[in-house]
Formats: sequence, C-alpha cells, structure tokens
Amino acid sequence: MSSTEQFLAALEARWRKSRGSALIPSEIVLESAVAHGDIAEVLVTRNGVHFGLRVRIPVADVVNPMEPESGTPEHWAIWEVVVPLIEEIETDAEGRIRPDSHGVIWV
Amino acid sequence: MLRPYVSQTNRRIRVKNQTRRRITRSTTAALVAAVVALAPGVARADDASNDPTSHTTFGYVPVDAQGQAQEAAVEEQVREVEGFNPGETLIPQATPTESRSLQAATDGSYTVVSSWTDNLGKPTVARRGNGTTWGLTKVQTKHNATLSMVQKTTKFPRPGGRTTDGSSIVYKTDAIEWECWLGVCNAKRSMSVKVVIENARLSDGLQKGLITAYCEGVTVCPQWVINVTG
Repeated sequence: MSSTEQFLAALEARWRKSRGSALIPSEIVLESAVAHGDIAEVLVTRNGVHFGLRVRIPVADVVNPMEPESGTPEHWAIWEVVVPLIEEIETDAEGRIRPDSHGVIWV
Repeated sequence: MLRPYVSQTNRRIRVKNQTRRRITRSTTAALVAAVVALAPGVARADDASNDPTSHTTFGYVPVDAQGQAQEAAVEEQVREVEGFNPGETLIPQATPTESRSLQAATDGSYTVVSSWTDNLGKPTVARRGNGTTWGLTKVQTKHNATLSMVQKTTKFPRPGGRTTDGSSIVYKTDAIEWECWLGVCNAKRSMSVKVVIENARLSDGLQKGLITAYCEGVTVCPQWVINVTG
C-alpha cells in the first residue's frame, strides 16, 4: 500500500468509526476520497447538498517536532480532514460559498 | 396624603393594563386576571411576580414532556454558570533551555493562553494557535467565540455532550433564552455550541487543546450567546 493510499484508507476508516458521533454527524455521508498527486479530494453530502475539501497529503515521516503524533495517516484523517470539513459544513458553508458548476460547495 | 393615593391608582391602572395584555395567553392567565379584578390587594402583592421574566442559560436545564422548564431550575443554572470561575491550573514549567527552544520552534503558536479543568476534572488548555486552522485566535476571529464560552462549554456540556473519539474530545451544550411566567419557562430561542479539543500530548507535556469552537448553523456566534457566557 502506497503512502497516499494509507492516508485515504485512514480517512475512510475514521469515517466508518466516527460517523453518528459528535465528531461526524450521521447525516454527513462520505461519497469519495481520491488523490490527485499529493492532494486529496474529499466529497461528502449532507441532506442532498454536496461539499468538497481539497487538502494536501503530507510527505511520510515528516513530523512537526512540537507535535510528535502529527504526520501519521490517523492524525491527518481526523485533524486535517474530518474536523475542518465538519466545521465548515456546520457553520453555514452553504450560505457563504457558491457551489461550482457541478453543484459542489468547496470549503 | 395625596401621593399614596395617586400611586395606588396608578398601580391599579397598570395591573388592569397588564391584565388586558395577558388575558388571551392561556386559561391560567384568565384565572389570574379574574383574581386581579376581584381582589386589588392580592394584585398589588403579586404585581411583580406576575410579570413574565426572561433568563438566558448556558448548559443543561431539565424540561418536561412539553419542553417546559421550572423557573427554579433555570435560575439555578444561571447562578451556577455565573459562579463558575475557571481559575488557573498549574502548568509544568519548561526549563529555561527548553523554553527558549520551544519558543524558537513555535513562534508563539503553541503558547498556552489558559488552562482549566472540564466537567470531569480533566486538565484542558487553550493555546494561541496559528490563527487559521486551530487555537483561540482562530475561534475568536472566525466564529466570534470567546475563551469563556470555550471554558463553560467544557464545564457544562449537555447530558451525553462530552464524547471522546480517537484523539479528540468533543463537547456540546446549549445556550437558551427563556421566558418564564408563574414559575414555568418556555424556550424562546436556543443555540447549540460545539468545542473540539485535541487530546494528544505535545512535546511540552501538555495536550494540544482547543482546536475549534463554534455555534452550530451560523458562521459567527450571535452576541446573545457570547453575553450569556460572560
């Protein structure tokens, strides 16, 4: 499994585990998580509205010395993807951001 | 003794006007109005307590099946939150050498702004953060959240409103504005507040702490929510 695949797999695993909790409300569904180079493109829906997030996949083994747990796929999944994405959706991204031509609101 | 007479007359007019306003509210209101009309003395004694009162709470208030709360419970929660003093828990101090290296490495982002304990007595911190993706500066500028709001959300979560998931702790609670009359309160408006804490330890031995805090459904927390958290 490549490094990129590990990060995407960690995201899917976190979503399966946390969906329905306060971290990931049950109405938010992960539609896809794919990599384009070192950028992950994550698409979710909430009540029929599509949201997207593009985020850089970190280079493996690069760890912030202040944060020993950073840089792992699990850390990236929760703190670089799940929390920022849910925050945007729950703070009226729909009212702030126009959807693109495919109807996706990129947060 | 003209003054007491005028005062009493004005009071009677006031009671009468209040009665007119309330008579359509409920059967209970009609009953009270009848008592007021028949017994001015009773009306005078109950004048203040018959006025609807407003309270704003932060945290859990028990309600019945109709969603109504007892005013005593509402007032108790108001007192509890107003009386909350986060204090400052002791933070292990880095040695001067460690301190210099941390400062150089972090450019102030990791500076601990405040530390306190949550509803279970767990030490919690807020750091300044990077201003954009995590920390106190970010939540202040992006969501109008305050340190006091963050602290009180972790101290007074709703039942089941504190959950740990991976390295995160999520707290949720409610700000509610109540209108109370005759000891019973109905919610006029409410706002759900969410705080996300990263529990992973950093190299200074403390948790990373506050990542984000916001009012759900809006980008900027309304001022009435900020006001109730002090």
